[in-house]
Amino acid sequence: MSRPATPRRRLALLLAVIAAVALIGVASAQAGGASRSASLELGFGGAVVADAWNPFRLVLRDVGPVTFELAIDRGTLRDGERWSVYRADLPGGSGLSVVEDEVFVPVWRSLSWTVRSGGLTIASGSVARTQADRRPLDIIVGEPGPVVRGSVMGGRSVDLAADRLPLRSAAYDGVGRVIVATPSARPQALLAAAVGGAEVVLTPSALANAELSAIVPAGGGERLVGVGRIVSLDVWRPTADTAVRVDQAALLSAFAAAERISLPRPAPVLPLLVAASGYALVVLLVLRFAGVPGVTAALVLALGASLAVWTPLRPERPTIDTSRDLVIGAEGIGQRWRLHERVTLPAQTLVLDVAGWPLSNVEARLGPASVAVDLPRWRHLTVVERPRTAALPLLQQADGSWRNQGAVPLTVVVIRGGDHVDDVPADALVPSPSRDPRPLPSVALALLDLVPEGAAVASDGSHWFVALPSAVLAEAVP
Amino acid sequence: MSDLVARLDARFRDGDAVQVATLVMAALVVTLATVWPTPGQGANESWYPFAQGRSVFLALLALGYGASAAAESPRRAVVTGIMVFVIALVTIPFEVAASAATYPATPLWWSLVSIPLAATGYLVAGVGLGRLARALRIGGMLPILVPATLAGLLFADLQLGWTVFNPLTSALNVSPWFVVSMSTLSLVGLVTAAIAWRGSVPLEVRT
Repeated sequence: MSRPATPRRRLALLLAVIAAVALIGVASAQAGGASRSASLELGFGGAVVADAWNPFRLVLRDVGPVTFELAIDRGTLRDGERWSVYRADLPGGSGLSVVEDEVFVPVWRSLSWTVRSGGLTIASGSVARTQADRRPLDIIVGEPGPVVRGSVMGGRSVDLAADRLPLRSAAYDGVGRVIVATPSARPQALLAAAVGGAEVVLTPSALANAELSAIVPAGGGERLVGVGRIVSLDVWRPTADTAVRVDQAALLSAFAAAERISLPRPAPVLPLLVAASGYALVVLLVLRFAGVPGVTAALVLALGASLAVWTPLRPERPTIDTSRDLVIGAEGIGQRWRLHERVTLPAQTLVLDVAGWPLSNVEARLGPASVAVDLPRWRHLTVVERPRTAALPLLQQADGSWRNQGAVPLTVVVIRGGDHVDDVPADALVPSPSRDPRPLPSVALALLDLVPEGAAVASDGSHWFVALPSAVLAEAVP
Repeated sequence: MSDLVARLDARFRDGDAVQVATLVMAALVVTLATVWPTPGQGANESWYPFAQGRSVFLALLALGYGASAAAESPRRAVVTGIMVFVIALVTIPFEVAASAATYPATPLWWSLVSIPLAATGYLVAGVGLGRLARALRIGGMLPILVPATLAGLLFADLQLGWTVFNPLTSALNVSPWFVVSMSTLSLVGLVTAAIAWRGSVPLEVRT
C-alpha cells in the first residue's frame, strides 16, 4: 500500500530532479566544451586525396599544451596492420591557436586522429575507409556560376573560402583545379597551387582584383607556372586530368628506382673456402707437431687471421645514405622532390630530420620535421621529403630553344624527341648537340620515357630537372 | 709450471686432440661455406647461423670433454680443459669473417667473449655432470646424458624466455645473465682446478 506524498517527500523529490538536471547540464556542457576546444580539418574542406600530400588545419581553443596524433593503417589482409603515426606536440595556450601543416596520406585501411591534453583526449575523429579516393580534387572558391560548376562536376569538387587556401605548394599535391571566382583570393596561394601542379582558373570576378590579374598575362590568356598553369576563364576549356597534369608521382617513382644504392656485394665463396681451409690446415699442423710452441703459434695465427679478414670483408659504413633532388616545372619555377635513400646493414632505427614519407610500405613514426623507421638488417629505405617550390634553371625561349639561366653548369641536357647535349655553361643557351656525347645516365633514360615530347631532362651533377616545354600544356587544351 | 707445459705438450700430441680439432675446424669451414651468400643474394646473413652453430658445437664439445675429464686424474683434466679452450680460440677467425661481412647489430666483442666463456663454463658443467653420473653409477650413460643435458638447458631457457645457459640465443645477443652464469661456472672451475692441481702428483714424480 503506497503512502501519500508528504510535503517533505515532495521537496526531496524536487531537489533530486533539480540535482539530476544540473548534473546532466554540467556534463553536456563539459562534453560540448571538449568538442569545441579542438577541431581538425584534414584535406580541403574535409576532402582527402589518397596517395598525396594533404593539408590539415588544427584549431585549438583555450587549451594548454596538446599532443596531436594522426594514425594511419595502410596494411593489407595479407600483411596485417602497418601503422604510420604522425605526432606533433603543440603549445596551445589561451585564445585561438591554429596549426597548419601537410601530411602524406596513403590509401588507408584506417585513419583516425586524437588531440590529447594532460592525459585527457579532448577531441578525436576518423575518416572512413570508403573515402580513400585517389582522384584529384577540384577546389571552387567563390561562386563561378552554373556553367563552370557544371564543367567540373564529373570529378571530385569542394567549395572553399578564399582565406583557407594554403600558401605552400605541397598542400596542392592532390589538387587538379582551383577555380577562383572571388577577388579576395591571395595570389601567393594561387601561385603555390600552380607550382604544385594544379590548374588555376580565374573568372572575371577574380580578375577584378589587380593583384590577381597581374599573375596572368596582360589581356588574359594563360601562364605556365611550375607543373601547373594559371588561366583566365575566357580561354579556359575543361580538359581531362591526364591531359593537363604531368604525372609527378610516376616521374618520382622512376627517379627513385633509377640508380638506387646497391647493397655491398658479398665476397665470393671459393676464395673464402680456400683461405679458411688453409688456415685450418696450418693450425692443425702446428697443434699436432709443435707441441706447446705450436699452441702459442696457433693462437698468434688466430689473432693475425682475425685482423686480416676484418678489413677486406667489412663494408665501409653500417649505413649508406644519399639524397637526390628532382625539380619538375616550367618557366623557371618548379616543385622540388627530394629523395633520401638509406641502406642499413645492422638492424636499427633510422631517423631523418625532415618532413617526409617512406616510399615502401613500412611502419613509420612521423613528425612535423622527422621520420623514424625501424629497419631490419640489410634493408633499403627511400623517404620522399615534402615537396617545395624551387628554381628551375632550364627555360625555354620564345623561339623554342633552351637556356640554362642558372648559376651552375649543366652536365647533361636531353630533349625528348630532340638533341642530347653534354656540358652547358651557366647562364648560356643550350648549344648544338655534342658530336660524341657521353652515354645517357639511367636516370635520364627513366625520366625521358615519362615526359611529354619537347620536354627537357637535365642535371647539374647533384640535381635532376624536368623542364616542361611552353607548348605542352597549351596543346593539351583542345 | 714445467709439469703443466709437459702435460699440455703431451695432451696436444694425443690422437683424440688432433681428431677433435680437425673435426671442429672441418665442421666450421663447411658451415661457413654453406651459409655464405652467393653473389646473387643481396644480404649477407652468414654470421647468424654460423655464430649459433659454432656456439652450440663448442658447448657440446666442452660438455662432453668435461664429463669424460671427471674420470681422469686432476692434472690431466686441467690440461684437457685448456685444450678445449684453445680449440675454441683458434676458431675465432671464422666468426670474425662472418661478423665482418654480415655487419650485425651485435658487437664483435660479444662473440669474442661469450663463446670462449661458454666453452669454459660448459666444460666445468661437464665435469659436474660426469662426477654426478659416476656417483649415481650411471657413468655408462654419459654419451646420452651430455647431449640431453645441453638440450635440457636449451629447452629450459627457451621455455622461461631468458638467456642464462642457452648457447644458441646467447651467441646473437648480449646477455649479462649468460656472462654471470658462465663466469661463475668458470670461476668455480678455475678454483677447483688450482686446488686439484696442488693436491695431485706431478708428472715426473709419477713417471
